[in-house]
Amino acid sequence: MAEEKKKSAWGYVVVWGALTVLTVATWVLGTKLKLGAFSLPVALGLAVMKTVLVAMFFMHLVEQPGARRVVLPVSAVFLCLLLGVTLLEVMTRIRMSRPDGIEEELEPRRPESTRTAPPGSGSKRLMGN
Amino acid sequence: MNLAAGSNQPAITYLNHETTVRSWLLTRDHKRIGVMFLVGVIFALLLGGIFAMALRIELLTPGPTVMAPMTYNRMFTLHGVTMVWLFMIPAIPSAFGNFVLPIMLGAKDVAFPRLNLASFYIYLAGSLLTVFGMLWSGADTGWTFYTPYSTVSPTTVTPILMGVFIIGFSTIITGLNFITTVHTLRAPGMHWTRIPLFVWTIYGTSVIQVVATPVLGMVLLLVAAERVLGMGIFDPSRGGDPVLFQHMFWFYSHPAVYIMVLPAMGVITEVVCAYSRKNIFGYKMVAASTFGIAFVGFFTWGHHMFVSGQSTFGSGVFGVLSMLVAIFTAIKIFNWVATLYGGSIDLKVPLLYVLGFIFLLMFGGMTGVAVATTSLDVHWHDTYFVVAHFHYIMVGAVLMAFLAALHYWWPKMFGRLYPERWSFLAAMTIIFGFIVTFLPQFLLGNMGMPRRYYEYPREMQWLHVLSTAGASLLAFGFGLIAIYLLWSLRYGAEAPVNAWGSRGYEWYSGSPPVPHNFTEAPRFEREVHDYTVAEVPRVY
Repeated sequence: MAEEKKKSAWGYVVVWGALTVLTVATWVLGTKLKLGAFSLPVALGLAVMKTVLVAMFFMHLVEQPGARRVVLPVSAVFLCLLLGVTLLEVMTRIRMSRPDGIEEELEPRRPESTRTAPPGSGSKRLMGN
Repeated sequence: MNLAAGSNQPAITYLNHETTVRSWLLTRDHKRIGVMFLVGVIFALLLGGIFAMALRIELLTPGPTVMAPMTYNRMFTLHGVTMVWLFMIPAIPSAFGNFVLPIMLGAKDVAFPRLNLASFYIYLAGSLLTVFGMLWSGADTGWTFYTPYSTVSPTTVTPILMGVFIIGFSTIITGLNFITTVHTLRAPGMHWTRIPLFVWTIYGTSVIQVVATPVLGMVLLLVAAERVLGMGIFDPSRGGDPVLFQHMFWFYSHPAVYIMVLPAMGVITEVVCAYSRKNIFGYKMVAASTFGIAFVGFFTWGHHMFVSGQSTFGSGVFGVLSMLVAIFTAIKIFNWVATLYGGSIDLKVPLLYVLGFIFLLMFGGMTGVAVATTSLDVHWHDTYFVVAHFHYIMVGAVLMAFLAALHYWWPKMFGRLYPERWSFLAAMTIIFGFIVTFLPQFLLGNMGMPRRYYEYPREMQWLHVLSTAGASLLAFGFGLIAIYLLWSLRYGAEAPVNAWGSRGYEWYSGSPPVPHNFTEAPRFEREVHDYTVAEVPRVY
């Protein structure tokens, strides 16, 4: 019978502690501190750290040999690809111009980001058109 | 191996060692599961074919012919849903992949046999729910479920969405099973550079299935949530973005084209080797090009969206990247032709389908480069030109490879031979019928005939009639195949253990194989498809 190394549970406790700290940090940074434009990247960064901890330790990815450890970075690459390219496309879209005389109030229910630009207004998009 | 009296087939095979219905329904044998998948996808092909014939009959005349406009809308949706989700995606990986992949690797079964059976029942449940949605009232959104229409259509969209969502789980499970099997269950001697190219293509396909299918599931759930709960995700009147749907849908559904085509390319490689009596020219490049297609295929989804309001910058990038796929595909085509060159060619029916495949893939591929050019696509978008293009590349290629695999592995699966003359006639009918069906549609599209239209100008009628005539030939060819294959199951001559003298690794087991594939552990001491020795491989 193969001899199995008995593993200590303390490692999991430490990881659980780290996850708890990160969860509290997410709540504090999201509700108590006003980070403005940084709030989304900070929240996403914390979420990524928690995901990596769960995948590496609770899903035992850290114990796997090379080929199986590729799963996590590959998944991350494809997620970045989907989000990155989609966002790049949205940022480089044409803002449709409106005929003169059309008031903003005609589109009251639409969020500002999706409204058409008034004639002559400067585009805030990153590239082109 | 114990042989049956007066026969060169094993006495006990996976077909006869247990014969009760229960033994089939609860089987964990990958071969039986493969056969059950085969029956399922053939039934889906029949259903989708009936819908297609109904469409073609309707389009015989410029005005109403046999159905109302709404029925027509439902019919093309059902045709697309059935053919794409129920037939083409699972056809080769789930049916033939399940049957031959473990044998090719020298394994007794797949890594997770119970999960494999679950995958079949999940496919069955998803298919039944989809068919239920079709019978209830059917959807009229097209197989792409484009928003915002799919979120407000009065037809029964939600059960079909959920059916496709469930089928996605079957795809993911099968993919995971194959990846694990390739990594963990290869027999001694089966190095990475000896893995048969069919297995490589199934492996590449499985990676796409595992990575991309969750995105499809997510977007289908979002559409269902918008329909049922009125959430504003894609509807612009609620602040949503319909182009976002297209991004997420095509992030899966464009790679899904390669889920369909890559296994087909694997079949073609096996068949080319077997009937030209040569190993593949450029093994490593063919394997690498599989992953090239799988990888680049993830960067090209936006070529479906050139006229959607997508940014011109995005369209330019997607257009250029889409053309890269042609390079990897060309590597494969050149290598198949180079393998045939100088080979001892035996023009059996599977090889005839290979020739049909190469022709259709080249035609579909080159028109694919044309529609990846943004300026041209603006003219051809949503016309019959695109319909013809994707039928050549997806349907033509998958059908040819499916039929090639069916005929190549039929003696392996069932131990019976089919009548060659009839099979030749059917193959010629199908290849010719396919070309006659879809070649006129390129011309129709170029003339400006939009897809999914119920009526058309009278001057386009002769091309539509030609297309319907081709579809009728296709139906005749499929009918012929069904008759002679069913006949051969009962009356066909008993197949030799290696019907084609092939050196493919799957022929190291009996035909039909024994329940656990081999009676002793196989040893793969020679390269796959090594024809430098005269004798056929030993059967383990």
